[in-house]
Amino acid sequence: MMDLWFSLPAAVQDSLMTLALVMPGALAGLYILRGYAPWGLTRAILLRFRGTVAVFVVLIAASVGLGIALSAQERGLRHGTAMAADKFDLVVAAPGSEITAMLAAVYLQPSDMGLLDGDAYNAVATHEKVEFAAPLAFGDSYNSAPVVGTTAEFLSYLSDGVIVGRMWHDSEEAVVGALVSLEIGDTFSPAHGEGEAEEEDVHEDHHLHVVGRMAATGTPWDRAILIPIEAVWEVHGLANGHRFGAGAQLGAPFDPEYFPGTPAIVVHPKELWASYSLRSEFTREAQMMAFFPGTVLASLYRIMGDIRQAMSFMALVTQILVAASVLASLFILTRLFSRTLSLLRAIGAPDRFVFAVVWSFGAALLVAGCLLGLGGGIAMAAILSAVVTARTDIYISATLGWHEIHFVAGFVSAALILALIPARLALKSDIVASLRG
Amino acid sequence: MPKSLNLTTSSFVVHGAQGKPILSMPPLSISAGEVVGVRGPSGAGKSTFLYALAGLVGGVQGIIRWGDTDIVALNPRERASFRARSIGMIFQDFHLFEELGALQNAGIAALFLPRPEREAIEARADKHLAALGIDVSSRTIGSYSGGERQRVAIARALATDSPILLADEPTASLDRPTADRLTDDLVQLVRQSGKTLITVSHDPHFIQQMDRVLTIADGALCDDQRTQ
Ligand SMILES: Nc1ncnc2c1ncn2[C@@H]1O[C@H](COP(=O)(O)OP(=O)(O)OP(=O)(O)O)[C@@H](O)[C@H]1O
Ligand SMILES: [Mg+2]
Repeated sequence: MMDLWFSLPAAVQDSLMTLALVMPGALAGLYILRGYAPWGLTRAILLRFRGTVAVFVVLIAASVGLGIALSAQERGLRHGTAMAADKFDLVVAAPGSEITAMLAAVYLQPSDMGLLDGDAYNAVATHEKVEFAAPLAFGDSYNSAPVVGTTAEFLSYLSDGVIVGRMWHDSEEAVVGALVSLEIGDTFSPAHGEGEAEEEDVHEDHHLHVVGRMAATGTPWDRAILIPIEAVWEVHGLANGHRFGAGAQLGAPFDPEYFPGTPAIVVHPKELWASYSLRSEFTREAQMMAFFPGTVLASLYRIMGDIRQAMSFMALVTQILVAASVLASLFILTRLFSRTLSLLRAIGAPDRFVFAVVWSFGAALLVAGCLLGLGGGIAMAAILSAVVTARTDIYISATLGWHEIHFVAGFVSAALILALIPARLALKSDIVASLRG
Repeated sequence: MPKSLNLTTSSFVVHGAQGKPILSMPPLSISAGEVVGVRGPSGAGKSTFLYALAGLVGGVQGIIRWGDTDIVALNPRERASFRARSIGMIFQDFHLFEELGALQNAGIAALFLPRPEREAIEARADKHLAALGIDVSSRTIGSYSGGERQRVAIARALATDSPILLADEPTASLDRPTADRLTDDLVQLVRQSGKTLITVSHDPHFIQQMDRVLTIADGALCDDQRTQ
């Protein structure tokens, strides 16, 4: 049985799960409504109290919507951050915090980092299993866009070779990310520092020309200005990684003796399976550490997973409270039409029919609220994603997932069953007393 | 279903909320097809009498038998089913569904009686509305006048073709000419179909058309008069 279940495709499992969650509520409904056609009457009652009904539907929708939006957003965030780290197979940095190094190398968050020297770089770059090893240089910026020094190889890899204009040909040329406000043909001078630390002292005598623009990557690199790493070193008056007289050489190989140091190297192995051995080989105490950004992210998510569980639990409690108050108010609402119900009973409607009317009234409120909440939740998640994307440049798309569908299905089902209680209570009233009322 | 039912009761007492008796009646016998008026001062127990006959009040001690059925001995579900098939109720203040149309109101029983009967109920509702001069438009009942509403309520009571009609001051809120027309229509319909009608009324014009008039005062029957 279990084997059969696990052999099913995920989408089938999820659909069956949704069905299983909806089933109790739906079956209860079918059982209650069998043989009757109360909808005409239910519709009349809904219309009669449309103002009150609308308020309840909106309240249910808001609570369901918030739950969905948060859940979809959280997943979108994980997915987006993981996608942004996708191209960074293995990162080598000076020993220290992997998280700090990852934030700097993958998400371009400025931080103080130790430098790897020429020998370390050489060991990485010349390893036989390494396809390429791109040194990164951070620290400069232009109009709050980070200026990152690297190699043409890495740029091509990052943009999948899609560049409007062309690749740089000398150390005075730059390629900008998709969202940078510079145009091809513009000239700029990088300033020292980034963000808050951005300093006035612009490297006035260094002018760089924009010659290309990368395709959008959905990562913070879309806001970065990429220049040859040699240019960064030269701007700071350092050796440019190549022996004098090597001409205007750009990119690897670098000469260890003239290598000023790099805070991080992005390593792309020849074969994916080689990554693990590379990581252990490049983890050398006191000299360098190597890590998979994906693994660091996963451990971050694991920590966040606990928070997420706490949050889901709180969301669930909130949901239950909302359901409880909805039921309490359903009970109060049925008071509004207790005369109607008493009349039905007086003219001989069976209790089960009256029960069906009250229940279908509640069911209509709950289902409408949940559907509206589902739509509202998707909209809210989309807005949140747009805001987060605008702020972090990490492309986040929060879409409706099975988790949210299951959540709504379970909520509807439970609420439909709980709605039996006020329906039952509505039958307790004295017929004659409420007819007289 | 029989065209009409006769009523036989033992002496019976209806107890109120605190268990104190609010109505006590001597043995009564009303033949099938009789048209009976009930009158008396306010608070005398006329409505209570009617509700007891319909099996709507608890706390009844005695026998209230329609045909062969003692409604006091039935459980609530059986009572409801008996009312649905055998009793048409007309209330003083209409009790219609504001958001439904005239036809839907008159044919409301179609919603809960078994499917095979639905068509017949709707057809009768339509027929009685027409006979009572109500045009079946798409308007909801909220826009109908008091007299029109009362007619719709009567059509509703007639739609199930029940042998018994119980009416509680059906003309109380109507003006003179409207009330007269309505009572004439109602009595004529009842006599044509041979139903048993028991109606509470203060209206002399209405009372005048009855075969028999019961007078209730202070929770007891004080007069039982045949007019013809
Ligand atoms: N459940 C109850 N418990 C206690 N007293 C009740 C109950 N129901 C009715 N009564 C009392 O019994 C009396 C008879 O009530 P009923 O409604 O039958 O009067 P009525 O003759 O229909 O009066 P009206 O002409 O004003 O409609 C009233 O005094 C009323 O307050
Ligand atoms: Mg009364």
